[in-house]
Amino acid sequence: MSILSLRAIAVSALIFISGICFSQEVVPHYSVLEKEDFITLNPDYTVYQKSILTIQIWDSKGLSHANRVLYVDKLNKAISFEATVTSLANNKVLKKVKLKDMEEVSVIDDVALYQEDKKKVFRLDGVPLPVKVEIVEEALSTSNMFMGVWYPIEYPNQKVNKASVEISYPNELGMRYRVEALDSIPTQVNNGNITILKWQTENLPVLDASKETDWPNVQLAPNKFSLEGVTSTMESWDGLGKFYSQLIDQKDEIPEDFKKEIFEMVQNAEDDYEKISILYQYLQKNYRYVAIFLGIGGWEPRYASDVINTKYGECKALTTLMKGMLKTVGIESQYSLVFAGDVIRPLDPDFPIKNFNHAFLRVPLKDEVLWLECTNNYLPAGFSGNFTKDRDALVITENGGFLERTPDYREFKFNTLKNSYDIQLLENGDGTFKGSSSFQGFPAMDFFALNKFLDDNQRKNYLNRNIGGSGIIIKDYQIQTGNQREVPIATVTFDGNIQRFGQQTTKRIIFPTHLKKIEADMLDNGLLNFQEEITIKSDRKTEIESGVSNIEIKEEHFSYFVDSQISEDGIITISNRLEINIPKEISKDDKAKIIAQINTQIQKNIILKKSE
Amino acid sequence: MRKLIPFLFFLTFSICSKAEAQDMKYGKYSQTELELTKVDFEPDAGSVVLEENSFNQFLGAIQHSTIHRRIKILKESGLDAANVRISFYAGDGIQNISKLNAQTVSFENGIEKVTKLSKDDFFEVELDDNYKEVRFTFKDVKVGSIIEYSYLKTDKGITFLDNWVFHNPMPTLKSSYTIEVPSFLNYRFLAQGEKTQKCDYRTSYDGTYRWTVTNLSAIKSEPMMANYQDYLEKIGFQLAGYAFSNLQTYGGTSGFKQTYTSWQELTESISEFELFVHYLKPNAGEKSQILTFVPKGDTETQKAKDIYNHVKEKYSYNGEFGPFPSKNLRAMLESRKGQRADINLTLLAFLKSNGLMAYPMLISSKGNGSSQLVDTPFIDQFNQLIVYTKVDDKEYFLDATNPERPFGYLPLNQHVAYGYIMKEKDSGLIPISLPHRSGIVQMVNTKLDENNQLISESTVRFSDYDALTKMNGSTVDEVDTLKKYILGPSPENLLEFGVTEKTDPRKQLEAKFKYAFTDFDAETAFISPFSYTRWSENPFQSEFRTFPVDFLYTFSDNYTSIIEVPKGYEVDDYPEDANITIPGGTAIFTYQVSQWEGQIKITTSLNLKYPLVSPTVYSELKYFMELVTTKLKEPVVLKKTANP
Repeated sequence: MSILSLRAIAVSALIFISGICFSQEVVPHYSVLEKEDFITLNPDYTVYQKSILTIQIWDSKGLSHANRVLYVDKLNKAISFEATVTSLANNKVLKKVKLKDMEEVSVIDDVALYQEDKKKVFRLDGVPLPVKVEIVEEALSTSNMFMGVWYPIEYPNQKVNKASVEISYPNELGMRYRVEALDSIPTQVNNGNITILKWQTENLPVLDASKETDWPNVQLAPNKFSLEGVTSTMESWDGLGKFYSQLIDQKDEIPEDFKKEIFEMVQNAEDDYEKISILYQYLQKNYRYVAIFLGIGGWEPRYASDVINTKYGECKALTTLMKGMLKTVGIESQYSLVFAGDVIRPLDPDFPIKNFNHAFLRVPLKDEVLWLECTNNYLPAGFSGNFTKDRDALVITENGGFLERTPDYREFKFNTLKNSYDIQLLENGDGTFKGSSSFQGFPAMDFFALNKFLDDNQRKNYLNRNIGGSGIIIKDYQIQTGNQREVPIATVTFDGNIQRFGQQTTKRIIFPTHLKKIEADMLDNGLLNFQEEITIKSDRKTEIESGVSNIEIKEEHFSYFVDSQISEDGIITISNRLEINIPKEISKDDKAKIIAQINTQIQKNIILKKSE
Repeated sequence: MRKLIPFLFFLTFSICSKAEAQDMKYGKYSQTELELTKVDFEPDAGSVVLEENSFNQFLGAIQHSTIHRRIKILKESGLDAANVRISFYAGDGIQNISKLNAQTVSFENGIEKVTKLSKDDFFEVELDDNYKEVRFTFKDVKVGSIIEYSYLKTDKGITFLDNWVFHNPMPTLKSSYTIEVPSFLNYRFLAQGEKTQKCDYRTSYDGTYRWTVTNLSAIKSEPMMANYQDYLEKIGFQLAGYAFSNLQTYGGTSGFKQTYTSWQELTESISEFELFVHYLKPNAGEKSQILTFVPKGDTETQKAKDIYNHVKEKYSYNGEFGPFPSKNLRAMLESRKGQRADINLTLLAFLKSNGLMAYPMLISSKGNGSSQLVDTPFIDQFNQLIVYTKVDDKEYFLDATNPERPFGYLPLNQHVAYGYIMKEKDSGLIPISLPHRSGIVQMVNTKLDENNQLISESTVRFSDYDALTKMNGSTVDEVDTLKKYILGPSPENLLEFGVTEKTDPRKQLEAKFKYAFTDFDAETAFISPFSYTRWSENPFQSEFRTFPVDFLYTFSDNYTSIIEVPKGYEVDDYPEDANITIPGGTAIFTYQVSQWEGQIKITTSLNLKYPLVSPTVYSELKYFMELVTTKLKEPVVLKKTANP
């Protein structure tokens, strides 16, 4: 397990501070660790690391705590490894494992089809417990760019008696650090041109995997660094940007014959957005996302010409190609880096660090900035969706870089949903319906994917689940997708049957004033404009016993209006208007409570009495 | 599994291959293939396997499979088919992949454009446990492109040949498997799936067999169908005999040896497997270590339960499984951690060492791809090892990998009809009987309390597999988690909630909770009789169904709700009675309302008689579920008569 891959998980002490009551939940530990880590940055930018660990394992659940991984690739070399496993019952040495005995496997993940990196793995198994495992390992990296994070605690349910790290570096290369959740001040020794920092900790709390808290760590970052002969500084974002600008330099050059195609594509475009949109659609239609990481740690983009030949690439390759195509038609753009995905890792303006997993493109226009997600093959140009929204990105300029925030999409134009249903209620309690829905912004995204990737049955299933409520069977439908500039738009028309509309008693039919329940995933951005119009005709003679009339609710985070009318010929029309605005900085639990409150407060029924 | 394969010595004969004239030729495309834009039986398909062939022959004791697959990209959604992964077992050089060829053919303005992959475009990935993958992606692929690749797979493990699955994740127009069995080998085969079983596999060449299956739909999972792989079309082979010669004996000996002619012979072969031996017959040291644990109880059943509880609590499961152990008994006794077969065989060793009857049993769990076992000693059918025991004259089937699972219960994916019991004699398939009375009993009482507040008190008791699934690994101490499982994330107006658990003689979980009707003073009041239902919404949204619906286990639910009409109110309206069943009587639902002075009582029952429901009655099942879910929400209506 890489120390970098450790998730921040919670300390489990439950403390009631009332002045009287103090109780603490005891988190069980399955192993006891003592370790010393040594990290030496050499003047030639290589990094030597040595770890000396003693792990006592008392429970079979702690066997994995002795697992070790040494990366073996173009940048990293495993120098030595020795594990000695001794029985704590009789002090007999049970096994010794050396570097040559470690299994070597490829580094694989869900994203890349292939990456060159390999790792040597030590797994402890098949030994009688309790055991003591003594490990000494040495590794060398040819680059100091990826200095990573030091974690005194390596696993949840692990008791750490002692953990220390000694970091030495030449003053001319420098080093920065940031400490989180660790109550330890480093000692500093200056030895001529070398500085030595040392953290020492003892008796750290046992962490509970089921609870969330910050994991103690020391994050390390170089000042000057080098990767495969390309050197730069990381003291500022500009310096880090400069390094990347060297990596991508000239990579976006477009071959002459392809330039002609590009010019032909945009010849009738009226403005820059249209040019961007045409080229972006060309990229989406003709290039596949395939990640094959070769070269220096997978950090160097391929040449655009190579991408053109293969018609595939990963984020860096597709972004570079898009950048080159835009440059061809005179539109400047900047290759940008971000930590994409569900987990947002904020970038500290004062602590520049390499903390990215994705490349995309920033396109500054006259009055706005567009962000192009070049790995997506169906969304409109300038709408980069959930993957990179609302976070800091490092924008790489020709000679440097700067941080910029991506859009948070907290505008109603990106969060609007309108439904309209005509329902014909049958004698037996079932019904037929037809209607249409329009989706704008995030609510429209799924429909682009539906149209592109799913078959008829899957689309119907999706619509059955998401258009209206339970019992709906869509028979016919049409999904149209489009955009108003960067805002995705989808409209769906449909008809079908409803099995068991509402609830029926001997004398009554009871149905809700709105069909669509508000779900948490409809409020990813905290904002929603939701409108629903329902018309109901009944085969059976009924009269309204209880309706809703001009009900208006205004709460802190939402406003709701509902009204129902009945015409002379018994047709009921219901209008719903709901606007939700939940603050961005709110906990998941509080958000769930607000959504539950909204659903409760807008839950209104219309009650029809069956005529004799 | 592969480690079990014995090393076999064979006579070698020269082999004459027969090319099949009707097979596609690499790089040659028919007009039909070039013009194809849509698959008739699956018009939304993004890609299609036009044809694939596996041609198998033996060179000495090595199987050579030449595999050739041709795919057409029909839509953008099918472009992922251009990323290929070929897995093989590389341990001890048993399998290898070589002679890779791959090319993309596209047509631009009627001109054929061929883009070939070079050697550098194929990557080899080393996975865990000695498995490897060859990975590659085609270049210059677009809608309309035909991509094809071929390779040679060699396999030294010829006791069990790798299954050939005719289905693919995309529709398949034609898939063929050809095998030339030399005269020094004899195989028995296992065909699964209607089309495969109907194949006329004999050819005009002696010893050559060929299965061709056409027009297969893509493999897609459906809700409540964990085991769609059991319905795949596929073919598998197991060695039935081989010719041998031994020149080291005087004058030499030769002959033909039959293998695994009976279940008993298979049992004897497996029992001699090095890792297996000690579980069945622990040595003195192992036995004395086992006997340091002394099971409590006076009866065989009590002792067996105590042993089961000891093993499931003290030995941890690493999440892996297979039909054979990964380590020997000694290693298990020391490390106390292992895969399913390791743990269950340890349980077996404990039971036997304590004088209790116990045998290993191999099963094919749901989703293993062998929906119906064949009654011939074909070991590739199985993927899990459990334990059969008979104590106090009663049979039990045990799996000790989960500390939360009580004695006599099996994981739901192990609820299969038959298992292969390995005994000293009379080994073979026997039925697996798992008697249980799963279900939910709910009792709701709604009345005014002493503060004139309308209160509803519910007791919901989950039994057997309903208790196990509802607890989902939680313990009764985790009240909030169980509350969430039972009442959802934010139950409203909940006043009290508590749970109790019972394990003996049956697993039962009982939740008692109480909630209030806030501001109960309306002119007309609508009261839902039940606060808990098995499904809050119909789980079936799809209009059609390809595979059977698997509810995993049968159950019988009984709900009763009594509403004491508050003073000043009268019953104005209530749901209508109902009695619904689906064709064949697999599921029955009844709903009855009775009323007498001051009270109204609603009684419902829902019975599922068979866990598997045929897709032919899917539309009826869907409507049935809609009725059940809406019916259970229908309210009783009370009307104010006067101020109380």
